[in-house]
Amino acid sequence: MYPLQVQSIESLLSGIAAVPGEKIQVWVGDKVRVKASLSYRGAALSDYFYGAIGNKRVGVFDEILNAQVAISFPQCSNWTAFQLTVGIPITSAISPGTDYDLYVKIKGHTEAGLPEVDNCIDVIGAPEFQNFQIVSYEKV
Amino acid sequence: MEETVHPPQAGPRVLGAVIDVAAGAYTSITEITAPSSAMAGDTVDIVVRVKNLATYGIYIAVTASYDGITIPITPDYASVNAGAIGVYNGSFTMPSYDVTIKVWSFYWTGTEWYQDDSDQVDVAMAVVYEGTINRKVLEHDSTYTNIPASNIPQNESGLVHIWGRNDTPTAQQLGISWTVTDPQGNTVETYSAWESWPYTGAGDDHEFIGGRFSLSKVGTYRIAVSLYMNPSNPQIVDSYSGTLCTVQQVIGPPEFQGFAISQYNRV
Repeated sequence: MYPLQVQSIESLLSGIAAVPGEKIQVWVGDKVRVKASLSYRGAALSDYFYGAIGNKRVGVFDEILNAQVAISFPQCSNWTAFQLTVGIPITSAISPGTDYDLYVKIKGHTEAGLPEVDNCIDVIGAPEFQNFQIVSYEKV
Repeated sequence: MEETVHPPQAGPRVLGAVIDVAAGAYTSITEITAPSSAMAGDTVDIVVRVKNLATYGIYIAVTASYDGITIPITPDYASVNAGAIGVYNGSFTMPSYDVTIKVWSFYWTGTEWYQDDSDQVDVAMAVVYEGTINRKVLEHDSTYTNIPASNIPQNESGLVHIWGRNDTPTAQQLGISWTVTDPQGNTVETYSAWESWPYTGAGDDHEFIGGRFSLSKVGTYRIAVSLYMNPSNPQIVDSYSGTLCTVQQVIGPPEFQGFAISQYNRV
């Protein structure tokens, strides 16, 4: 029963979306779905929505995990709102740790901005066990 | 210049006791029938009536000319009874200018034709006003495009140039008027003018330039143009009504704003 309870908690946690300022916990094998919003004006444009998890340092973002999806803006003569989504797989390339940072960009148009959320992801490592022993035995 | 009178070469036989008389003593040109105006190239018919003033019959001949050019008259001569009127016909091709037809009457003295009376009548050249709008150009931000123009960038400044050609054989004062409407049908420019002297010669054209207006709306702008002649009684000699240009929206470089991470979650 105990393992099932753990699985249920994980399932509950996976669907809860955090907003900037909140932290999520992830395991290797998970995926972090990042949503961003922006407004666009201009000719039809194709590019990539790119997201990365890593560590922000002074003047640089040290990417560890990243992913991108193709996006396409139609011609917009006026400011038009869009929502973008990218899923970043959590692989063993990232070490278990806390306070990882997140950022996104329009790959070919960094002038759009480089939104970041700092200290928002904790990566939990592989399952660990301790105190494993026989505590009793009986006839049933 | 004094016109030369050419009496008919063929003459009647001797009439008898006709003696020298004063001009108009024996004949009187009572009527010259001719149109008051005719178009260049038209055949102009004239009819001359000459009365015999003598108390006996005489031979009467008629000659006529304009601008030194002889007008053939038939018959060459005719015997006209006392008090009767001889009728003589002629015709010529109307030149491209006003003419004065001069007519002379002769009677036969028995030995020669005697010039006795003369008269004249004017025939004005009738003007058929003909012209053509032979070129239409839209100037937009220093670019010149023939009308109808297409895909003009939005918000450029428009300026209409229209050329009118004089298709008559004489110089004419050309006039123009036009109205430009935007895609919603609202008037954005009206223009009208008569050219100033010197006027446009035969076969030449004249350029009219309107005022500037903004091509601020996306869609089709229209123009209605009329070309005029004869300012005292303006006549439309050509017109155009149709598309002036189509205006398209200008799409600038890509712009972004408000780019932000809205949420993230584990899946």
